[in-house]
Amino acid sequence: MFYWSVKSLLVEKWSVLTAACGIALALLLALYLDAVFRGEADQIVTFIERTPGDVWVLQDGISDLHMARSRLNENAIYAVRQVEGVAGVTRFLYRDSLIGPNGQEKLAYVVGIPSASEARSAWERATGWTAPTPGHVVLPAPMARAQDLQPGDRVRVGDESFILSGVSRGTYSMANPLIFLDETDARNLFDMGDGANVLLVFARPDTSPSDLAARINHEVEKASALTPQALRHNDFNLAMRMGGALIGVLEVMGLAVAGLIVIFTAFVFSSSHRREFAIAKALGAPTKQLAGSALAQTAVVSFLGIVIGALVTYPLEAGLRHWVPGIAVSFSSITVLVLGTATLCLALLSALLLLRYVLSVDPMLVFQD
Amino acid sequence: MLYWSWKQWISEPKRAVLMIAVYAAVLSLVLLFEGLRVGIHDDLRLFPASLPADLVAIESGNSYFALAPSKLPQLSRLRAESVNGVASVSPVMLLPVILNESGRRTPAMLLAFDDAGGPPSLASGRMPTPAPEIVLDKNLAALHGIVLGDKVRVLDNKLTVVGLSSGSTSPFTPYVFVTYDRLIDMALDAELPFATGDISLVSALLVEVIPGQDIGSVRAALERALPDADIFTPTELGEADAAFGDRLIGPVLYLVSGIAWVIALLTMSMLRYGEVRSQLRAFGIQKALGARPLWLAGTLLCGGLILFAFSLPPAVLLATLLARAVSLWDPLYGARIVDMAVLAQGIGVMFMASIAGSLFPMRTLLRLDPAVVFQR
Repeated sequence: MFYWSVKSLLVEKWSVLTAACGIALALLLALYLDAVFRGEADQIVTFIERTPGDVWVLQDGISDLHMARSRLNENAIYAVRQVEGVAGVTRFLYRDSLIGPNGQEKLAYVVGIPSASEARSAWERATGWTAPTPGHVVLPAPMARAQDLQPGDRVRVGDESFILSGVSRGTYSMANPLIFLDETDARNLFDMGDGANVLLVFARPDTSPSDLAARINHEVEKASALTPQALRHNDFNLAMRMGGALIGVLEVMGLAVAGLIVIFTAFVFSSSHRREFAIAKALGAPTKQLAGSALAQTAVVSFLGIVIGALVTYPLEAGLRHWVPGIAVSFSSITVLVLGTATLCLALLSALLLLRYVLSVDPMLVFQD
Repeated sequence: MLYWSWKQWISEPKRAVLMIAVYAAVLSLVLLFEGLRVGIHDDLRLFPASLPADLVAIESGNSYFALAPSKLPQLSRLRAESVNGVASVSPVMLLPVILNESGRRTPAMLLAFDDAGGPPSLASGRMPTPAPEIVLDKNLAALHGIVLGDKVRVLDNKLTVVGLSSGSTSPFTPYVFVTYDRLIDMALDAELPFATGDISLVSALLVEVIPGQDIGSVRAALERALPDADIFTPTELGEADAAFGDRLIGPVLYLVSGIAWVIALLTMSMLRYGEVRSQLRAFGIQKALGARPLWLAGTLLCGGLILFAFSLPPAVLLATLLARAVSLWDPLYGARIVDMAVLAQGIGVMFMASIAGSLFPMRTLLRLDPAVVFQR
């Protein structure tokens, strides 16, 4: 019976392939939006991940780098330096700004890299990115490519103009592209004479980052200290939550569409093979075998769709990165696995609905024209 | 041809109902994405476009209201008030914040207002006073489960929610409102160098022109009086913010719409192919009777269009329910389904997908041997 099921599917290969592609696309639709928000979230936290430091200090009441403006005054910076266990402090300027020609501006986050040579070199070594010299700017590669900018070209950031000295990799996202400027230029741009937006604190060897963060929070009134892991978690979740409802509805609808396609395919298949089912019944095939055969066919079609969908994510991710560099996508194998399993379960449940149709076939149908 | 297609269609009612259900589900996705795109565009445009002013002054070089808050020199209000034809000038300040309540964190735009520029309309409650009070966008409040009288923490200040506003939603920057006096207290409490250097207390100036004065000439006079500012109408700012949002998230939504369109095309192909396979004998008879390829193509098209026409109403209904589900899940996303532009655009692209998909089984029909009629 199983052999017959598979053989019947091979005869209907175009129907099977179209249905499998439909299931694959429904699955991809849900996976794609998850991949977009995940890719965006991954990129948003890249600065936190690569910048060296044991504790991040932001303005009191602020616990994100993305979509927030932090500002620390000199008093707060001084107070942080005095906390026991602090080995060193590096100031960073980190502010949102507009970049690009009038009317075509994009939102970007400007990072003012410390001008002091020691801190600057340490940051370059740790991140692998190059810090610009005064008067120069480093843009994310996709952003420079989109604006057709070459090193030496002038770039408008805020209401100032800088010379493009190079591009950085892994710093582009739709909502949070990172622009590197020298600290002095960033201070001029933002009219920021003193203080900082963010402090990177290095702990003494005998002090754990989490203890130090807790100590700073306790002792410094106007600052909020977080470990890199906590800050990364906050920003990543903030980005993912912004797409939460869309991703959720798409996942539900993707599953629903896949389920409906499976039901339809199973229905078409069963109705076009009613005579074969009738013969099997007339020959005494047990109900279990008939049901197993119908379920096996559904499972094969669904599994094929899921495999096609999962395999397509690889070229799709590569293709999107190449042809649409403005969208950072990152397909998650866990999401693929979860959604794939859910689709398969739903498909089998849907097939159960049609079992009555298959099992109610009258063996006398064999003799009808 | 149409009659024959119709007869084929109603010959198997169960299959027809199933086909409508499948195709309606797919079409509803196309409509939902189009509705979401238009909804995001509208929400980004609505608040800046509804600012109670004839003209709005923002930082020179910036042409956006909320998506990139500007800063103006403190003295710009005085300069604007001295321009001939200006009736009144009200400053507003915008500051991006993260609302962290009920275990949920959402980016929001804190707007401090003086005489004008506060909540466009109140859905419930009242306007804030200089006391520690705040008005939240009603959808932002719903997202966090916040009700009137609750306390929220903004920049480490506890503020009581005294009002919920409507017309202030945005998926990226829903607005929350405090008075200028409250903001100044918050700034003093934070010990930050507000009003000097990088932290200006003025993001934009809302300018009312004396009735009867020519707005164009007042605008030109303001441009001259405020060298650090550019002057826009609220409508221009609304459109600029919406265009900015389109550039930000447009490529993602267009690609999602594209995938949904391909699914619609494939689903129609699959449905029509299944239909043709089950009606091979009937098509064989038509071929034996001399049916030409054009007739066969026409029949396929008619079948596809009948399916499209029957699937459309349930698709609109389902898309509306899905839009409702999205807004219940996250009230900051409002998809516009019953909107002429959305329906026209959605129906247009779905019609194209239906036509293209319905012709998929043409090759099978062209290769069909009329002798199939005699097969058992």
